[in-house]
Amino acid sequence: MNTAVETESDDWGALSALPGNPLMWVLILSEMLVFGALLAGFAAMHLIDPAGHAAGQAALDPIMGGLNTIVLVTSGLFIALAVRARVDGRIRPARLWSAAAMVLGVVFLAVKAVEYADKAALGIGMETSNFFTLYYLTTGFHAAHVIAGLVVLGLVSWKCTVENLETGAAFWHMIDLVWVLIYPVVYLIR
Amino acid sequence: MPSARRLVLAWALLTALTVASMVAGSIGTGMTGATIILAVTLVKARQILDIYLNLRAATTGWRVAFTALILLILGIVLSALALAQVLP
Repeated sequence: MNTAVETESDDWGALSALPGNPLMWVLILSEMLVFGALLAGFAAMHLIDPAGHAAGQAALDPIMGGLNTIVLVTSGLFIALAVRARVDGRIRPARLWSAAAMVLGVVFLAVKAVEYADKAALGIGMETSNFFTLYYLTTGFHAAHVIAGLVVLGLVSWKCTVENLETGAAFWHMIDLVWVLIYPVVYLIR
Repeated sequence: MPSARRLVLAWALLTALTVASMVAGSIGTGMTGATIILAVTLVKARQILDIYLNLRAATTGWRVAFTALILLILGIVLSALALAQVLP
């Protein structure tokens, strides 16, 4: 009876074909759609108000954005190595890799804070233009995910089972994936 | 779960492509530059999905679906850029 119930509850339909926790993949898909809509907003602005878009983008620092991309993909490597170590039964290295990923998450937020401070020093805020309204919405929402991700990584490092760490790492990779899409659209494409 | 070596190779590719994007962004403008940068972005996104998130262990249908979603997002951006150049 119990086996039948477990089998039924473990059946996620098509989602069962995905590696790891199926609900995390639902979240990943949802976040890709949400951030995809925000990036479509940048595309629409490029079309409707090319001069305003160009002026806003010119005030951004693509080097800082690129640096943060490297920081995040490196933290993605570290959390993936944490999962690899945990799968191999090495708990202490798993926790150390996870901690290293979290440190880089904090570095990402610090770089983002410097960017925001630079804009504020120039008198640029959320209401400066449509471009910056969307810029702060998109990058601020993403930064909120990074903060949530740090909490998640802290929890799964503490309760360091393979499943927990895999699920937390998937959340972190989602943050990484979304930023990889944000960076070129917001900072680079002219 | 990919090996540590495979993960490090994916990271090296992601880092190299990010630097390439930064260089292309500082040099190239217009459709050619944008197309190159977005093509590089597609490769980077696939690396994160396939290697970091191990999507290569999933069925072909899921891999195609995620690729299609990324292509849709990047395609909207590129289409808007192309339209902005031809519209008065």
